[in-house]
Amino acid sequence: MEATLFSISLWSFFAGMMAHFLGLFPREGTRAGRLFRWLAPALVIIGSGSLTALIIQRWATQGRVPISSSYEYLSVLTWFVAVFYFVVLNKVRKPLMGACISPGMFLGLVFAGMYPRKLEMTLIPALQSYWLKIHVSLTIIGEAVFAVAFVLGILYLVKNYRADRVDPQSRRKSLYLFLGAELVGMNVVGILRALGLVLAGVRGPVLVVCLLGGGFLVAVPLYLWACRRLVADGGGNHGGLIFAMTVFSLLVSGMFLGSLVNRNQQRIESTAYRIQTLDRLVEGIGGSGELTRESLERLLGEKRRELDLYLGLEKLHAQRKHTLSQEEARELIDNSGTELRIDFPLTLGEIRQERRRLQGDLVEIEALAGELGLPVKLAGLTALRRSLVDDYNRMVTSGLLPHDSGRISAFLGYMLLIAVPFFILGYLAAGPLQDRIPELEILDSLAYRTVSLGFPIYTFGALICGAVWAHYAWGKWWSNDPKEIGSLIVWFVYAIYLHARYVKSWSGTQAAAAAVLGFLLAVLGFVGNSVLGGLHAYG
Amino acid sequence: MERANGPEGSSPARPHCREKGGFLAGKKKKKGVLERFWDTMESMRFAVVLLVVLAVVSLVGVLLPQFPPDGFEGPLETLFLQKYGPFFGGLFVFLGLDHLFTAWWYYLLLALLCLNVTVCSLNRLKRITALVRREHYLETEQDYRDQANNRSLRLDIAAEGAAGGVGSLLEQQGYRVFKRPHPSGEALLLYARKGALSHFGPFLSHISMVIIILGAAVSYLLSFQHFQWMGADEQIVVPDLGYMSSPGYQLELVAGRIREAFGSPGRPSGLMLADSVVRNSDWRRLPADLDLRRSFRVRLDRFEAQFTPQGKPKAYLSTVTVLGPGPEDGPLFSQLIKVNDPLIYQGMYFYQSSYAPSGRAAKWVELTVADKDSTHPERYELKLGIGRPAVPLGSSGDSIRLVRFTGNFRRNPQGEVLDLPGEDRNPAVQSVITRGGEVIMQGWSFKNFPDFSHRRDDPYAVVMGDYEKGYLSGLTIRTHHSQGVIWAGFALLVLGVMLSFYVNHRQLWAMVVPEGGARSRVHLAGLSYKWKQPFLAEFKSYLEKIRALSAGPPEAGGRPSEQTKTSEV
Repeated sequence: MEATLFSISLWSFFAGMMAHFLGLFPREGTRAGRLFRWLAPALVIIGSGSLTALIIQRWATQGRVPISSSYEYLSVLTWFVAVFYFVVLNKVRKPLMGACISPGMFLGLVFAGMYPRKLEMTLIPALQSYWLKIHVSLTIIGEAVFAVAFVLGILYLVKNYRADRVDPQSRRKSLYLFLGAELVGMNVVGILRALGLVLAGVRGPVLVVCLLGGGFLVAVPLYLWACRRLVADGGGNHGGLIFAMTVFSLLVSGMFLGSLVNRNQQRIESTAYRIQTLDRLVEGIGGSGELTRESLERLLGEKRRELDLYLGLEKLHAQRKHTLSQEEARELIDNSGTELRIDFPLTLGEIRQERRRLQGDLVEIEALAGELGLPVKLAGLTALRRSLVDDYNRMVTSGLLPHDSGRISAFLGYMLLIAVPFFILGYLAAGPLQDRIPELEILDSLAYRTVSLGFPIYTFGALICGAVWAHYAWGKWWSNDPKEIGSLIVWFVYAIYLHARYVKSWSGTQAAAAAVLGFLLAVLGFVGNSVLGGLHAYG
Repeated sequence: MERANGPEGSSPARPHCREKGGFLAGKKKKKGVLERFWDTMESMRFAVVLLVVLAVVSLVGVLLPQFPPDGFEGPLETLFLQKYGPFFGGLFVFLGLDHLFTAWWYYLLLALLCLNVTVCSLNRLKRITALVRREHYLETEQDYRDQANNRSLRLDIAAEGAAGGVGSLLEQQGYRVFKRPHPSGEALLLYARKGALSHFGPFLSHISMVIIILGAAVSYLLSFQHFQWMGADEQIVVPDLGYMSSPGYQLELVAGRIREAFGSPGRPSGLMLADSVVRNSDWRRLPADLDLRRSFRVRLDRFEAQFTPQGKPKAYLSTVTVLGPGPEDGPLFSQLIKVNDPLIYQGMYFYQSSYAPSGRAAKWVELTVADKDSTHPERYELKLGIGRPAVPLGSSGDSIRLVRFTGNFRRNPQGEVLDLPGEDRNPAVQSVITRGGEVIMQGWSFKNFPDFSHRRDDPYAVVMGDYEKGYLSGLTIRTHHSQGVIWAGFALLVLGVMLSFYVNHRQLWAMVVPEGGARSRVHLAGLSYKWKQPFLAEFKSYLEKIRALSAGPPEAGGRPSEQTKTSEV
């Protein structure tokens, strides 16, 4: 059910995005143009409706607001972006606005889909607080608002670009600057590697990618430093366009790559699960040295009894309508004929989750046994296990990213490679699309209103509520955790944005760049904890 | 800061938040060091630079480890030297990057930021107050035409009546209305304002940041923290920390923190010594000779760690009873301490912050430690608790402590040790043996596999014997010094942000000129600091209402406000 709803909204958002893109080409007023103008929002409405249903269903099943795992967080974030999509589209009736926000919704769900979708009936103790609802939901709203400001900032920078005023030399210059900086960066990383300081364990083609990514890390400050004149260049604002396209392409490629990596991770996990299942079969063999239909039935029978016990518990719980204690369930457990040790008290959610797990196990065991064809010798099982373990090891070691050192730089390197075509596409499309972008003043004013809506929410929700919650949960207002520092930096950037608008020389391009940068940092803060760990790493 | 003094490039080149008539205005002599410093403090650009520097430095602090990771023994310095080599590791340690958030220069950056924000805010305060309390009139028709929104109307009522009508209309709309006759005596002037307090928003939000930083700094300097393991039915004596509020102690503490920031811990003296005992001791057995009044006792009645069927933690629950100070004193009350739900008593916070180091713990474990050195083959029979202080191994000078226990030892494919729920199928304990503060061996011992424990070149063989299962509850006991300041800072920040973003300062001016008989002419002008578009609609609605004061035909005069160019700020 949930998978269906998810697919419906994912593909509706995709179709809506495509309709928005196609709608940009025919002139306004033509039949095709009118068709797409109606079709695209209609598709987004279908997508949002199904996403709403998904969230409500999950809310009902788990009995709490679904904001505690990455998947749930991103789904709700996408939902809020959809809300702002309608608000902004209602204010600015320009097809391009829709075309710009709709990829955000699609990518948000793509990204969400790569995280485990498992239902968690019980939160870990640290999250069992009403502050979770306040802190996380307000942060989501704040970030969704910032996402809209991000799109507006990108549009501003693109619209602000005047191709006719840029002399061809500075165009080339920025390319040379980047290539030069990247080359210097790669050399720096290469030398550091030769000294044995970084990337010591990385070899082969991945090393090249790592060098590219590591070089990129070094190159960005160099490039920014050298590029400052181009960005500040009054004639043409070519630097602003470069910045906008760089950020856009890196963000898209990062999401794309992130989803690939997550998918690989899921494959690894499913192999590990298979190995576990195989271990169960081996345990079930007993003394005969052969897995026969009978021994399998014995194993399955035990599982089924456990499942029956949990089904019984579920029924009992439904009658009692409160948390089950050991005494109430004693009779069921004694009669079940299993040797399970169950920790009480149990909530309905926990019982259901365990029941689902057992059902999944049963299906998996039967499927595996079916594949093997019974009876099968122990040697056959161990051979299969060995090959599965080999598979597992191969996937872990030869995955897209190196296993331990150089993970980040390899990620950046691949990201850079994937970003190039997006960059070129965006760069080429910028000129022809300029007519369709709303006027600079409108964009600027909308972006300002958006940020001044989001900033107070973010200040209160992310920073103040976060600190207060931490005070009660961890005994500290502030722990210098990666996510805390990340949110503070995001807050700094938006504070600079708000201040920048009062200083004449900083408004316009610089303010738009700050709005873009702020959201970029928020995204980094979101993924940062999975790399750096820390107190906020809940999965 | 709402407005910089002129565009970039004018002299002085940097945009200052300083107003004319600021603290040091009017001095034109060559600037001394102090004055230059003051100038920097008044510069808004300096604030932005500081914010950027702080952001970058904090990022570095996130990327480099600031605490020894789990399982790493010894000071962080050694980790840095191991991880980044003697040159970079040494450099990082020299720069204080291993304790970045407590390094002296990090404090300095924060202090500069506070000073800068305070100076800028105070400089602006005068102007804000003037603006908020302003009673300001526009006296010529040209003044009215210069405003962004303006209109002239002809009314069929006398000037006094018209002025009164306009005034009461605006008062109904929540405006504060001021009236005055024109200096020439030939007309009536009106000034109305609403939401002027919003100008205090930026001031409040900036000052509140300073308050929060200062409150946090004081809280960090003067708060007390202690971590305590407790088993069921054990009790601790919570020492009276009243001595901590004595100025002498606080001075010493601050001095100690500053020395720490510079990397040279000084020698503790007097109160500090008592403090260090309280800080480091196990409160289950504070030294008897410690001369501190005892304020109350806390007994752990029950600790429960609940898990889901999948083995995920569900709840950690410590039921504690607070008892009077003496051994003969009875219980005062009982309370359940949960994560997110601390016990607060007499200014002390008891947080549920851990439970027996990891997974399913043992109350005690029996160990046989044999010295493998053939010259003096000693055997030690020990009974140790998990996470307790190290115990010496006879007279060898080495000591052993237990780090972790699990009833079901199993590693996942990544090599991490899992704590699986259920029966104890493979009980194992992780021990660490140190010699002179340095780890000489650490590893797991298995009850069921006594020979399968240690490497051949380990100096000892550790064999695990019997154990008794039971959880330990890990409580963090804290005081929160000056937390009222932090709460006040939060409140001011919320108030400041609300005022800045949700309240709009609007001003309306009117000049009512009598035109003989029962006729008059009204010039109306309006200005809004924010939300120009909605204000335009509001302005138009006032025009309609004023027009309705008389049945006379309106006359279009001045610029129609619809055509004025409004830009949103």
